[in-house]
Amino acid sequence: MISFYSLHLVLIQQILIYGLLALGLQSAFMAGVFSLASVGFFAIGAFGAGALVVHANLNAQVAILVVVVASLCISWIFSRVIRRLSGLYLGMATFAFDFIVVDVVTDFWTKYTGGPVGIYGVTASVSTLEILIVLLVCIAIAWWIERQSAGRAIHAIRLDVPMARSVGVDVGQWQTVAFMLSCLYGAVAGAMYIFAFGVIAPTDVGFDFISLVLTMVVIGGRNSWFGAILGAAILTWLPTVLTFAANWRPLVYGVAIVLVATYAPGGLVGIGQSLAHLIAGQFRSRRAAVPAGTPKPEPAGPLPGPGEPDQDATGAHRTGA
Amino acid sequence: MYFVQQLFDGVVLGSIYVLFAVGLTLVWGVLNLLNLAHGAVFVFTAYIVFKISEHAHATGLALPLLVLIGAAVGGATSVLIELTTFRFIRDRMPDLREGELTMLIASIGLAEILTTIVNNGTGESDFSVPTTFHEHGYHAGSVLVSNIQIVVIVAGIGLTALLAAWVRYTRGGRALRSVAVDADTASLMGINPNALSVITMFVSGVFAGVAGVLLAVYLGSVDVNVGSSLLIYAFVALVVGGVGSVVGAAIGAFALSLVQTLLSGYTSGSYSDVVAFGLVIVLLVVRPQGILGLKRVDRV
Repeated sequence: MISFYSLHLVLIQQILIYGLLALGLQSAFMAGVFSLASVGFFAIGAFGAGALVVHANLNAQVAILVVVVASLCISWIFSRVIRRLSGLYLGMATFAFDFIVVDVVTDFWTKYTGGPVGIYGVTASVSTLEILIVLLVCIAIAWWIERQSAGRAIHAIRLDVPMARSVGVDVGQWQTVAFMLSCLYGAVAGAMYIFAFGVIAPTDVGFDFISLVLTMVVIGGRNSWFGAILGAAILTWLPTVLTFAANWRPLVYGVAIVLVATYAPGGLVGIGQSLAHLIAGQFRSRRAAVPAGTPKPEPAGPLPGPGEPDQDATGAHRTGA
Repeated sequence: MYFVQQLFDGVVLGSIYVLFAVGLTLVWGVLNLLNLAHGAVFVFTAYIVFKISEHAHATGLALPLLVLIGAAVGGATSVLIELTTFRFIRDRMPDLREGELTMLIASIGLAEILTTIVNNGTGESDFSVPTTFHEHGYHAGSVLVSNIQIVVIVAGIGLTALLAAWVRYTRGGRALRSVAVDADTASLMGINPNALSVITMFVSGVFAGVAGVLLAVYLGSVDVNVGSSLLIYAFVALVVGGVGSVVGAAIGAFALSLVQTLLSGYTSGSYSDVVAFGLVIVLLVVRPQGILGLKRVDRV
């Protein structure tokens, strides 16, 4: 176990950090906000925290705090700018934002960001346990929101904006909250990245990285926090088990993505849920086949997951009531 | 004159952009599909044409023939993608927004497949398409013009004008536009959405293929990354011009290329991308439908 841990330390840390970033993206998607800005904030977090430690001699905790405050301010201003956009147009604006961040760290302030080379040589100052705790706290916040009336309001917005509005949900406000939360998670993940691995270059956060994180969320299942984490774990881990394919590894990876996207629209979590329904259904029919007369408790049906539409709809009505 | 030279170089770059961007805009407008595999189709076609040209003749083939082969290969690749993947997703997911995101992810996977084939064939290095075409430079006044630049401009503007006319004036083009506005109603009017999807993807692939061959010949050599950087600039062109509009994509492409060449000609060059992406955000906020976009059909 110990040797497994030390052998796979980098992989485990990557999964935790990418999981946090994917969770950020998913938090925005939950509220029907198609924002890719988390990746830009990941870059802000990584380069910002790295530069603060290297050039301002701050310690890691203070640097993270500065990054958190700064990302909240920037994301609030950005949310004001783009508040009229939705759907793919919003995706495009946040995509452009990510590239502006990458260009700024590549071509401007190169004294602090290291230009195309990026930042390196930052002392590794977070342990895997600390990253795990940060991730768990962020999951707890996401989970708590999903359970609250706020979560039901957010589900309602994702499903049907006019309906949500009609039952008294402040759509704009919740979407801003979701957007800022998603940016914050991205920035924290970025800061964790630089303090775990000590290196970050502009090419690490470019187009391919945006695609990767987006794929994690959709392949895992974008309707619950668990899907984002699952997607991050699988897509980070998959390349290491595909080593048998040698040079053709990305091809196998691509085929896997196409297959999941085509045959599992709800992502891997969706597959799990349908399987659970199926098994529960079998179980129920077997119970029903038991000869009548023997008193038996009513079997509890499978609990609908957080992404189930019918639960969302009723939840939204409850919010409005 | 330095300024005119910059302007001319901008137009050449814009012609490549527009060949690439019209395919993307057509597919987005008609099929609601943001096809991230478009850049990969572009590079893949250039690679296949390079292989064909290398094997067919020691000195390579003539340029017009290469362009024709490129059009065929690009179109075929694109149709193959449509038939094997996008059609399935479209059939399985009636909800527009869910389907949009799923097709986008599938296209990321498809791009991965195509680029891996190219990478394994070339050993991840540049490749150049051998051709009997020889580049000549001419002086038009004080401006340096080469024959391949003229070919690129003629192909870019000519083919785009042809496509715009087809979409605007023909029966097929009308069918295409009706599907873009409302696919369900269009199918009630006797338009076969499946056949139209294939046509749209074919046209998009043809343009990507032609662009791939021309860029490879024009630059001398290309590598895999050209596809994704062109994809990013095409996004900018689409948003600036108005999504779904062929003429809009052309305006966006030339506006972007002129801004880029002028900025890198007169400044240190590092501003060009920041300005381009900043322009996207400003335009989206001020005028989400793009410069040429008409009343935005809200897809909810």
